Amino acid sequence: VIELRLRLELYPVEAVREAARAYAEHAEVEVEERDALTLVRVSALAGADEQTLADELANYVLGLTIERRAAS
Amino acid sequence: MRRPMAAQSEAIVFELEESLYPLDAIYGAAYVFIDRCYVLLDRENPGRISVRLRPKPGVDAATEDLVGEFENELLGQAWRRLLVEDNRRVVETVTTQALAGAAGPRGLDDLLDMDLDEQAAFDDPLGIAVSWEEKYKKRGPKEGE
Repeated sequence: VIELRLRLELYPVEAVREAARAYAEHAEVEVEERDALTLVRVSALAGADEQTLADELANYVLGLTIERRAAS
Repeated sequence: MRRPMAAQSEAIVFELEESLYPLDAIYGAAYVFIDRCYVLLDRENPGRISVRLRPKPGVDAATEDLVGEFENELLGQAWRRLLVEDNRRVVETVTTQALAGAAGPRGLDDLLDMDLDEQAAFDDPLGIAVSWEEKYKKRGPKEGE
């Protein structure tokens, strides 16, 4: 399991949850809010590289965050 | 501008001063890089954003070069944002003037509501009250001619 620690002020939790839903078929993704952080635990489903999957998910969250900021 | 870089396996981490680079510029630069790198932002210290870059498999570039490119992109983003902000002010001013002009001349009610004192009422800066004859009358030869 790989744990990402995403700061809420940089990554809105809605973007994190949306990314978790998008990656549901590749990994088991658990999202937990704790203080100023969103903890994202990523367990890859069979055959996938867990580190790469976690990094791809973080990129996806970043992309969603930026697109949301641009749209608002 | 940034702390010495710390390598984490293939990844590299560096910090940026938010007072120099606004967060939107950092997001903009990060967005340009997400097709080539895994990018992770953090703010462990107030006023400083840490950026972690890890090249994606198949990206043929040294991590240090990517950091340099990221910083160049960041400068471009910050500069573009300054220009947009300046242009926004110009556009707002021009639009306001255009809309004010489109409202047309003052109506009779506006003129009646104007507060004219004795002096202002007879003020004629454009010389409209001067008669044609007075304005264009032939002048005699100047003294000494």
